[in-house]
Amino acid sequence: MSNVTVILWSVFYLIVLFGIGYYAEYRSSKHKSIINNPYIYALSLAVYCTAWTFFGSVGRATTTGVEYLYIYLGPAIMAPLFWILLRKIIRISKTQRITSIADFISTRYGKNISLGVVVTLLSVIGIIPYIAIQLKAISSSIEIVTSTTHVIQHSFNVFSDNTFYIAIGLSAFVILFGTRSVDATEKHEGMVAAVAFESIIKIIAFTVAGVFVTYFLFNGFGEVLKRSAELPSYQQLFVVQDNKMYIQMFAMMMLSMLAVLFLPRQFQISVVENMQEQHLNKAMWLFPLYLLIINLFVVPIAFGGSVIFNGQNINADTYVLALPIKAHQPWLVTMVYIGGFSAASSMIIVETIALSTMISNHIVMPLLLFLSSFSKLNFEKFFRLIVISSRRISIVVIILMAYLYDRTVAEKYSLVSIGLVSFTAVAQFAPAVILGIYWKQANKNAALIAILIGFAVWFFTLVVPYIVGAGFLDESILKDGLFGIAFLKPLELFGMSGFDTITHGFFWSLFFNSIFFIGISLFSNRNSEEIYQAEMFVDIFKHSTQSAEGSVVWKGTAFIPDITSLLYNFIGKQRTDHLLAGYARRHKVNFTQSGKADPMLVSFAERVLAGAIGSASARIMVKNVVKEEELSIDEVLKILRESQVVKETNKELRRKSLELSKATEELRIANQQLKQIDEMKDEFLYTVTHELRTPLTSIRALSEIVHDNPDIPDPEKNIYLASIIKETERLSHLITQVLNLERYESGRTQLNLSGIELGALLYEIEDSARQLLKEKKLQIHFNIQALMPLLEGDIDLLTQVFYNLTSNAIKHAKKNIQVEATYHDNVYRISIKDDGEGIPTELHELVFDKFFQAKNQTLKKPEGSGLGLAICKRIVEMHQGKIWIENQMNGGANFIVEIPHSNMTNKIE
Amino acid sequence: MVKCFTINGYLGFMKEKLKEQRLLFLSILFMMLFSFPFAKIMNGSTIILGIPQLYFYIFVIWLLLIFLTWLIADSRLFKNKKNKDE
Repeated sequence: MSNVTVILWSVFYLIVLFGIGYYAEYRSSKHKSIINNPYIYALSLAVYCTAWTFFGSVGRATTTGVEYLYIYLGPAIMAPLFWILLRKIIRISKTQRITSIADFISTRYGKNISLGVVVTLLSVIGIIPYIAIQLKAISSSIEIVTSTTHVIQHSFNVFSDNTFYIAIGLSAFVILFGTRSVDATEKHEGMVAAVAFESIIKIIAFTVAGVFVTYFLFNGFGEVLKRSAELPSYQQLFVVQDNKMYIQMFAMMMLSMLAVLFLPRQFQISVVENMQEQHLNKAMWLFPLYLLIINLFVVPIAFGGSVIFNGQNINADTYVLALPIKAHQPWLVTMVYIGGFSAASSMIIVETIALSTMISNHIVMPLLLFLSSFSKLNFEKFFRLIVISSRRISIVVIILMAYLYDRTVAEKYSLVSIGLVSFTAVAQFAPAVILGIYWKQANKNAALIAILIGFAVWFFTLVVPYIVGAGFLDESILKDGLFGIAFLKPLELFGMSGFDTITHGFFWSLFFNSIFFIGISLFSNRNSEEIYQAEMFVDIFKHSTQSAEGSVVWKGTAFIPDITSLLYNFIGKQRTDHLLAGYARRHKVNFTQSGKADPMLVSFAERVLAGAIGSASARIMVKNVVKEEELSIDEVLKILRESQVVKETNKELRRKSLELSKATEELRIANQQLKQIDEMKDEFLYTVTHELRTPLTSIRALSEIVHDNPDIPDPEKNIYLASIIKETERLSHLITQVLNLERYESGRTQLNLSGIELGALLYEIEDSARQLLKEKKLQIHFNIQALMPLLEGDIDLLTQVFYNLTSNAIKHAKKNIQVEATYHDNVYRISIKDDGEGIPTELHELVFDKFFQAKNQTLKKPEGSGLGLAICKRIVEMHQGKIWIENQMNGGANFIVEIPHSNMTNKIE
Repeated sequence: MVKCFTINGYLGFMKEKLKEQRLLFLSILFMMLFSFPFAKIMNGSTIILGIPQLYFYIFVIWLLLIFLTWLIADSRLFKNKKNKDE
């Protein structure tokens, strides 16, 4: 393939990328975002797969075998934890308008400037080689695809170097789509869309190449394996030979777990560009699936390449391109070249955006603020311009530095090893971030010192050997250790030998980092700002449920014009007015353009500013325009406690109101019952007086007859007088019963307990009712169980019950009455049956009501007071028993009484 | 804000907690399955479907991890009502 063709393809591809970027921005401006989609989110996460994956995995698979897979297993293991860790980080970043990993760490530890600087520097130093190897991948793939027609140029001239122009093209893309707005929390929709597109391209290109090698150059996986069995290195690559390898594999896994969270480009894509937390649900399985698929054909390409190029001096990193070239497949070569280009460029794009934001917000801005505090230069009006230009300049500088690095140092090393060094660099952020979001005691000094120490150990164990390798340092440091101290050999620190460099460096740097981090946190204090931020980070799910503007820790005086002009300077008039209008709407306040600003508005402005220039710089800017009073630790704690108290009070209030409504309901029911009872009482009184009047009326009528007619013959007079006596008896009987019932119901009656022989009691009743039985010619049958235990009860009252029931039965029976008594399971059961007409089922309960009979006496004259059954029921209940009616087969009524046999004494009312 | 104190809000909260715990369990379990004792047990020179035994094991376990993550995080089976509405 000619040089021109390659350039044309590259330019064409870049144009497509620009087109996609523009399209996405256009859609976003129409509020029809194409990146607000879980699939795009998952695809953009695959920016994890760089040129290192595309070319380097193959190379690594030919040297360490299965170990290369663990760089992708780490993210797969981390993916389920996205829901726990990443979601929390996303939530925090959204509430605090965080723009990068440096901003995250600096904000967590009291918006500290030094931390922002350190994290930014470590990221830049750690990542530039990583960007460099992307450029290296592009340049060497150009070299390979053109080498068939051209002799490789060994003389190095920047302006005849294709990679240089590609680097410039990429810078243009990043500047265009990465620095559109000064507000870094705004989504870079064009960039994300392009990155997602590149993820599709690289996986297709690699998979097609893999299928080609596996099924066209060879006859499936099996044949690749069979052929590669002839290679000398075969055994050690397919089967792990050395147990130490397991430690190395584990280290790779841990390292990549951390890298997938903390690489600046991953943080940019997964946190800053995240549209909705819910997108994580899909990304959690789609992203590992993507990694799995892109790794499927690494082994066949690696071993197929080893078989085909056996003995030739061809770098295994380039097999994926070299194989299609050797097979003379120009279209496939183009495709793979574009795939590799997409893998490299997506990484470069996102990484430079992330790094440039960090540089402008955490190095340039603090520097500017520092300078302006000393000089009288008034460049506040140009802040916006300065922020944007510093980002654009740093993009160009980063890419150029990477280019130079590529052309000087990186030539000598394979892709993966440099990538792993970068991984280890960003792993230094893990303690400060992970502990920072779960452990409130973690503090600023600890984070600063721990990261610096981790950084130093990383530099010593992983970077120094490279510097030596590149010839800038004397080799003696590797052999004899620093200052000739044997314990300080960069590759065998403290005498730990036998591990590969990455495992060794990863272990020591993270060991010192974590130990110092935890140790210093435990033995030092936090200032008020740190305490507040720790609270906001660790308990984010508690705080973000209320309005983020709700709890404010700030004290001082500020004026609205100062605040608004500050915002104008940084984010422009249009956006400021838009944001302030939104704020006014949310909090239902009217904005005047003058007057004092309340703390809530100040903290809102600070957060908006933080989105543009980072929280630490925003803090300083706000401090400059407002008169602030320093808050003491006690005050911060008080504010936090108060917001806690408010929450508690709310909870308490809700609980109270719940209780109140419950009480109200109870009261309502009680009231209803009272009304019912009142009605019942009225009715009772009415019935009683009515019942009393009937006999009284007849007594009065009869006595009037006797009184008015003195000449009535004696026998007739006697009949009248007898009637009067009978009516009087009825009256007094009625009154006695009413009094009794009232006494039973009010609970004033004490039961006069004694042991009762139930059988004897029932026979006795028969005796007293004999006269009645004779009159009505009725037969009474007894069926009483022998040897029942004595029933403990009030003999007078119970006699009354059974007398009432028996006389009731006598009233209704035609021929027979049957009385039964049994004792079973501690319960006496007495049933009194008659063969009368029976009682309709619907009345079974009503007959026990007071005056039931009276109320229903439409047809016949009442026999008895109508209180008998009510009294029976009450007496039985006083004995803890039950009384009810059952219908018999033959139609008669069956009254059943059940009284339990047990410690009655306790239950007397 | 009041919503989270209703019974449904509370159940949703508990379900969310359960989801976190399930995912944590999954992650720890598979980290072990990919690591020393298990990787060593699966290490060997047998070839399965043209793939060396250890590679085969890793890819199968990997696929299983993806499937289980999908099941817990994104399938209807474990989705709570709130997610369904969206």
